[in-house]
Amino acid sequence: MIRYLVKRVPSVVLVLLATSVIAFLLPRLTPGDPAAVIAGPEATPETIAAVRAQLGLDQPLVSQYLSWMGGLFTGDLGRSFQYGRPVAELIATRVGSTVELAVLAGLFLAVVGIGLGVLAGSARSRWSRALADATNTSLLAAPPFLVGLLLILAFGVAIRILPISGEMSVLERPDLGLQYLLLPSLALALPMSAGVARLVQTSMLAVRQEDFVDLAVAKGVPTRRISVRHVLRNSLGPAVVAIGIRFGDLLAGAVVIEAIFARNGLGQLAVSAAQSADYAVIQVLIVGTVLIAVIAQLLTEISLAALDPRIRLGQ
Amino acid sequence: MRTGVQSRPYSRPNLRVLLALALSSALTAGCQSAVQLERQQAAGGSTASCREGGTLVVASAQPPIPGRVLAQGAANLFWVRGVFEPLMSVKDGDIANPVPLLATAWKVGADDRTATLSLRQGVTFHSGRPFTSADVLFTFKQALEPASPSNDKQIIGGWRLKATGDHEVTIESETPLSPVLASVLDDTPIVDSQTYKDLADGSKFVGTGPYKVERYQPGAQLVLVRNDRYWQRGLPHLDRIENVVIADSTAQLAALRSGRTQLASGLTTQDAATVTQKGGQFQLYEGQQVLYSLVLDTASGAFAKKEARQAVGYAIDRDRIKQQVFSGLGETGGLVWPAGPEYPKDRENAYRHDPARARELIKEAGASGAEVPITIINNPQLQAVYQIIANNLTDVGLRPKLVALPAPDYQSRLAAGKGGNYLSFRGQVPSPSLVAQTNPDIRLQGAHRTFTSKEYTALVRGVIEAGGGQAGAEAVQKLTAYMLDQAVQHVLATTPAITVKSTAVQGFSLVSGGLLSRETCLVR
Repeated sequence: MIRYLVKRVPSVVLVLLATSVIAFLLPRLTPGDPAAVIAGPEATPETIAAVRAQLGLDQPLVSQYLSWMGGLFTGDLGRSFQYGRPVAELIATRVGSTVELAVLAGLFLAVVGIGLGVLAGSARSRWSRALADATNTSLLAAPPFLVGLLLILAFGVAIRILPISGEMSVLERPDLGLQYLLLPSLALALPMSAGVARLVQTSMLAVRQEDFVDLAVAKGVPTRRISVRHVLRNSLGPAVVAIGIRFGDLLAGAVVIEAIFARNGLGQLAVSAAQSADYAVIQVLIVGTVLIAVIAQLLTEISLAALDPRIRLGQ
Repeated sequence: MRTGVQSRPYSRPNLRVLLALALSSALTAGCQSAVQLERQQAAGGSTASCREGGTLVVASAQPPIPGRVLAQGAANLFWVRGVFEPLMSVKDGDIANPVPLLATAWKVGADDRTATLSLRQGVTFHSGRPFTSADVLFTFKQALEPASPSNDKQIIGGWRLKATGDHEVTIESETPLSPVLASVLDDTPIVDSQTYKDLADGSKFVGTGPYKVERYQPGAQLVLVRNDRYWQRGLPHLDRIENVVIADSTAQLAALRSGRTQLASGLTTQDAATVTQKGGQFQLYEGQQVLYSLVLDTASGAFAKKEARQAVGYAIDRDRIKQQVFSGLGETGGLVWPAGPEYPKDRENAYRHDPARARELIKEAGASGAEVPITIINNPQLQAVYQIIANNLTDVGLRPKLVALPAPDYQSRLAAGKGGNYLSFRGQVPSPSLVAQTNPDIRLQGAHRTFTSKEYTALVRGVIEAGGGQAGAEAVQKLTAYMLDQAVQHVLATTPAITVKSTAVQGFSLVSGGLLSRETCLVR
């Protein structure tokens, strides 16, 4: 595996380098001036020009890029135009919120997705399969923001049993933090879990047709053992890949869910940065997101190798 | 033929699930409920008297920007006057009777061009350093810096400030002071010379106000705690004010309904109405007025001719905008001036909805079928205003085209004078002279509109030079008549900025600089 990871280093570096150029140029190519936002809606052109000079935006693009890259190599991610604070600090104060949301949502995604998939993919009564299929289809059709609003109406307005606005760190107050986290993570995970469930279901149904399952049945292996050891294990590959890919979606979906549940995570930071043309923040978030996607991809491949003995990394 | 593997019927499958449910229920019962906590913090809908102490949680759609304390705006609305106090404060637009804060008295000279301010003694900054006239001079110097966001630069630039004592400041002005003095002093809170450079990134907040900043999380929240060494005994009432950022209007509603917040700014009028129309726990606070205008591009295009611009005035159905977009709130008189002695009431309603007259004028100007791009900032309320205007203009034979831009683009285009025809929204200020010097659609320096003429320049200068009283009223009359004839700016509506507050919040006073939180309290 080490050899595999070492072999992947050049391509990862290339991807990140290309991303840094795109992340730097893309926001600057869109019309708009961060200095105009900082100067305010009633500013004169002179004030805007003074702010531009203060932010270093009057420097040539190449010089700005090299300065940013130089900073990245020394651990300085730059300084937010809007808040005047180091970008690293802004991200550090918010990453916990998003990670908590993504981890619990990821957990729900895996549990509900695989659970629902197993339920739908296991041979049982027509009614229970129809119920699982209906649940799956409903979740597939519902985007996270809709599920979020329904959960707010159900558990925050009609039956007030869970908080629907704000957040509290799980590490500081696990009891309260989890309550704040429950609805947003469910809203984020449930719609995505349907896709995973559908994959698991299809895969399980296909694996059940394999000869080795027939052999196991003929040998009198108990049904549960066949389902868990033979069918499920051989069906999880696609689900793991889907969960890995969906992890990126979880981060993207967090933007909407954070807005609905008034959580101040990375998603809201990204939205606020985009709205105020805070290039310094946007470019770091883009590179960071790509880095996470690359890591998730590597982890997915490692997990696949662990699940399927036919896959050997580095060969 | 193959058959699927038959699973065993569920015999005891739910035992573990039941155990897990029981365990989680027990855990939940043993834990503190977040909902209960929020309910405890939210006060009831009583109208009883103030109580000392308590925590007020306010939601703002925009994040606090500490670097903009010398300017007005929604970003710092709820916290800035708690930390940084001005010399005086103008309540309800009453510039003749401002509330003394860091100035105890002021005297304006007979020529209306000099003012002497007596400063409050015994006031200290949060750092413990005494407040003196040097701090006033420092603050106004900062307001004049090229990158300063102060809206009053043009006025302050014409002032000469002198410290005539440790606690006395004299102002000499090139233009009459009485129409602008109180407002400019209100807009410019006193900052600490020793820590001002650390204010831009929010690493230090040192003012003289009734609250100190306990915690600042950029873009997320700013928490104020009571300043026990505040100069006025008995104030403030609250122990703590938590300013949280909730950008989404729906999420702001959820926060209000759940009891998390007691005050919210940034909701759309329609969303605000859903919690205030039925009465009960929430009220709509109509404080700061906002002027919505359509400013026309006279440099090129269909509106180079005056008749075509006048046609737009007759084409727009202002009452429909007021009813459909602003839920019936506000006024549609069509003038840019604030209410007051100089307000030319007889000039109101110069353009009322008259599509037939508009069609005639369009034909006369030869603008039939002309494409009319209209630039707006991308926000739902302005989109709704545009839709009505577009419908009206189409009805009279023009072809409106939407140019919806994000804030960075909209603001930079307007500042560069490249906004074309644009929809603007500006906070209303208390005197015509202030409007003429600070409103970018009206002012002479750094104007956002394209229109200019010698006559217009002379008339605007006339308003500034005339000051208040009869001379001021006459100057405003002349300028208004010219503006209405030129029809460059069509005021669509003057509506209150939307703030929703719980009835549990009392002593609520929003001035142009923000919430005067020293008087705010929660009821018993």
